[in-house]
Amino acid sequence: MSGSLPIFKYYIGETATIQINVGDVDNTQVVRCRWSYQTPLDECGNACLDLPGAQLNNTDCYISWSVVLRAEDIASGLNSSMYVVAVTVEDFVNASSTTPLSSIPHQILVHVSQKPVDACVSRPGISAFPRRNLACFGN
Amino acid sequence: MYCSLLFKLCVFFRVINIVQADHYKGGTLSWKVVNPTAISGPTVDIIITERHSWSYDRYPCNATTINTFDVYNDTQPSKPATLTCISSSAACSASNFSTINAPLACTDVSTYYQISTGSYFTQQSLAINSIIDIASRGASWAIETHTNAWSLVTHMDLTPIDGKINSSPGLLYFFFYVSR
Repeated sequence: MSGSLPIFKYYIGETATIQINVGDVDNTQVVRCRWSYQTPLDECGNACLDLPGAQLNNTDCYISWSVVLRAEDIASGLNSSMYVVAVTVEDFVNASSTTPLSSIPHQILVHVSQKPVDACVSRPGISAFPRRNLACFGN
Repeated sequence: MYCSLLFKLCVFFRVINIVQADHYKGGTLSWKVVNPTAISGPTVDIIITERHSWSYDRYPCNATTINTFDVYNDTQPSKPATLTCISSSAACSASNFSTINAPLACTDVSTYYQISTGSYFTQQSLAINSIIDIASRGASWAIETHTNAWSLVTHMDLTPIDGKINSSPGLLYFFFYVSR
């Protein structure tokens, strides 16, 4: 299984780390993530590869992204943007296998805005990202 | 008079359009085999989980709707989200998979983020050795995403491996919405 908020919020100029904690009830298997694709199966409609310049770590299932507004929102004079992240999670027999046994979709929202003048210098959060798959939080 | 009526009609249909479109806010599909080692029969029981988020304005879940397992649906009037087999007709037919209506029950809500979320679970008996792709699809992401069609696809392979049938990875959303 994996865990994720349905919406992530970031400020312009931050370096975002979007962590998706993935796992599997078949506990000997390996789980990896990849971007969802339009072809051949239309895994994500019009919302594929929506985060410009984002990097997805396949084995640890986290996304690194330099937070920016959408160009079309800037052109419209807006100071916030909403993106879609479409990731496909796959399970494999073992770490050397490249043939997925199955796959599931995971689609979330990412909201971007200007940092308010009264915002805290650093946001509260879970530290030590990225974490390995199946890592525990807390200690 | 004609222009006035036309204007009113335009406004009317625009309002309908706003109500019926631009509402999707993400989701996931997953599935789990009920008994992974029960491979002697012609069919395999699996539990499919479907989870979607929608604009709060469209589906205002609240504590009451959540507590009473109220159902909400994808498109109005009362057309539930569906799960369909998108593989070849031969593969879909051989799998015994039939289109599933998935009336979601409200489970989570945030007025601050303007999101209502619901889940649907269903147990299905599918043919062993089936290899199919299943999709849930709809017309419109929330308007602020500047996208349109949404599509979720899960790949299912019910071929036993080493005496067991695989389950998909699972997706559980954490909902620690913060009041502000």
